[in-house]
Amino acid sequence: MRRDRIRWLLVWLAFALLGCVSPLTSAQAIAKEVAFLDLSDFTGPVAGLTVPASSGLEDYIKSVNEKGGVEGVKIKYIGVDTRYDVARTISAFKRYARDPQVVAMGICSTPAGKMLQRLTREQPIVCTVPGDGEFQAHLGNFFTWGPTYQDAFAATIDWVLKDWKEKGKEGDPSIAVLSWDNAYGREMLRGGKEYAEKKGVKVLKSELFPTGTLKYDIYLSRLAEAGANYVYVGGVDPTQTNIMRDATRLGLTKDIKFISDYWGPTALGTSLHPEALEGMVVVSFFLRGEDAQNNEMMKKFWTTYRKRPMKEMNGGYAIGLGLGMSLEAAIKDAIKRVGPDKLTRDEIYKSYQNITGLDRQGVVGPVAYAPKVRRASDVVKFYVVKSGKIIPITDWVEAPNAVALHKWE
Amino acid sequence: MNELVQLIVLGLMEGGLYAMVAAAIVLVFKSTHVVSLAHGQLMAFGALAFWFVLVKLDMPVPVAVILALAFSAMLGWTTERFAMRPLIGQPLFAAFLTTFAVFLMMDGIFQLMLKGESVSFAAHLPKGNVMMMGVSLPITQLVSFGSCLVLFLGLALFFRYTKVGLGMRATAEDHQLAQSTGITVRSIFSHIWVLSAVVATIGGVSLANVMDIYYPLPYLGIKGLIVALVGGLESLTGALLAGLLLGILENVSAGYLDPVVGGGVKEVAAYVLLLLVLLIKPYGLLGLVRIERI
Repeated sequence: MRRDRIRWLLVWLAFALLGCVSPLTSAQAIAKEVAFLDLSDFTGPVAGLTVPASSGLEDYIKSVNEKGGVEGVKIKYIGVDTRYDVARTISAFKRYARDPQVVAMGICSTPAGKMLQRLTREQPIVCTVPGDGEFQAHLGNFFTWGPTYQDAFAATIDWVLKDWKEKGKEGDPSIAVLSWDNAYGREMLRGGKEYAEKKGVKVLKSELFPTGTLKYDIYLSRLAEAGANYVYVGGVDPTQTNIMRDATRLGLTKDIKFISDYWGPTALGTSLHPEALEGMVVVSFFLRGEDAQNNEMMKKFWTTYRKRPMKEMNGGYAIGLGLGMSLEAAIKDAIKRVGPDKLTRDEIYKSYQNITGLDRQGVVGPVAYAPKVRRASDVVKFYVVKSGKIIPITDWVEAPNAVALHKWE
Repeated sequence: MNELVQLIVLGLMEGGLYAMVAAAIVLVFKSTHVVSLAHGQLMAFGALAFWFVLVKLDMPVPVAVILALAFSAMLGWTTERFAMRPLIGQPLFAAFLTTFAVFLMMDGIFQLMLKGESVSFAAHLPKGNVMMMGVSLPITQLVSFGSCLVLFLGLALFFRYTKVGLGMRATAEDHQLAQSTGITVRSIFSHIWVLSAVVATIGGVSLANVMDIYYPLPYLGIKGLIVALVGGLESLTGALLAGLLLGILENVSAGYLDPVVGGGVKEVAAYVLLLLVLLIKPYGLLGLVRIERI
């Protein structure tokens, strides 16, 4: 009995001690450490993209910390699996964003981004999001990963016109969107459609499907029936790869040219159905395929931190490195302006608008963020899948500002 | 006209795949009266095992088939032995919920293993297209449809001519009567879970041959359940019929109604069919009508 009492007393003492010590450590930590909250989908439909992207960001943060941090300030990486679920994302945001150490965050879901934008209006915290044009149209604390979806679509329209002319075809080409039935899937046409029509490209009725779709025969057959010359495919790989698998099986790839948006075939797709992907064009704001394999910075990070063979590296890894470079530059800018002890969310927000022109070693385009710009860069590259490899067919080309063409509410 | 034929033929091919998943659920229900949700996962794990042996271990197709079926048999036996057997004598609803728990637990493992990516073994099997009735048909789908027909024929012969099959039929009729004739009902339960897991694996491999192994694959088990309910939970013929019917309905309705309503018809077609069939024939198309004597 007496022994039990002593045991309990010791437990209580330990708890009391912890209670006294923890406020001290967190107070000390605030000055020397800031945190990046990564609300990412490590499982579910977009995991094929976000797992490599988040790995890149985490590795970049590790490398910064190994060098002693940004001017002595270390960055803590907090990764939460949100499973492409808006409710989970909001819940995780509410849980983790209470901590003042969290000075910036990232999410990978457009629908969740739209919801979080409203929640963070009062107390802005920098949030990086994939490519929704609305964040450029309504300036705030949301910064895209690259040019917006409509900008990429507009760049594709330019490429389509060039391709059409090179093939010596007459009349105007037609294009249709085949993508997920959600806010992301429709986004490229808000401004993208206006750009296409301005350039004389006919935009056919989109075919939208649920994220978990396993077969695409019906949508593809309808697009063929509608006479599409080009199909712009959305979704996250393996969606594009699976669409190409079905298109090839239906014999549609001879008459229709398929072009993927940013999240199309990566090392995953080319290992699954290389023959079906043959000839698919991909628009990208980050290095992928052969370009990524040969990039020194990506090689160094992948082999140092992931310790895996280069052929296993997914191009999405470049996105994370790009995000990491922007974060480091913004923290550096804020330290320069206000010192390491005043790294608040407001200061980081201001700094993200100050890093215009930052060179990101060619992994992604130079930073375009500015007081009136929320898109990360304004250049894209075009790739084609050939013999199971993703090879570049253009250099970096400017992505037109299609967001400005849309009438936003 | 050609469009309609294409939709019907593609629907038939998909329907055959649904029917195989439904067959596994019907097998369990016939003997145990448990409606199983776990078969979506048994199907997915079976397909994953086939992929692992064929692609990762680079073994020939027959070896991959044998090892995948052996793995699924073990999975079926384990599910019965550790999740279902302790519930014998308990309300059937508890058993139903247990199959749901098994589904969720295995789903977590499945999602973690795939990490949002997908795997495929299509490159290791015959591919190409053939023209039939003016419709271009992928060989992968024809092979899968062929597997479906062979499977149903095999099951029909199994229940008619084998001792275990006859024992299962007797158990389905009445557990106590079956026991009194010397049939070990517990061992029949075990056999039925093994057999249904093997059938689910054949369905899973056929499905994955057409659609790859991707995170939503286990959820096709839900569609299998709908097919089983539409066909009648005790009827294998009903499962085949309902599967083909659903495949055609999904494709034709989506083909013609999607442009009118703006899309999504394929996703709701199964539930509309289920609702209509249950309103008219509550025991399904070929299900047994239970007469309760008061």
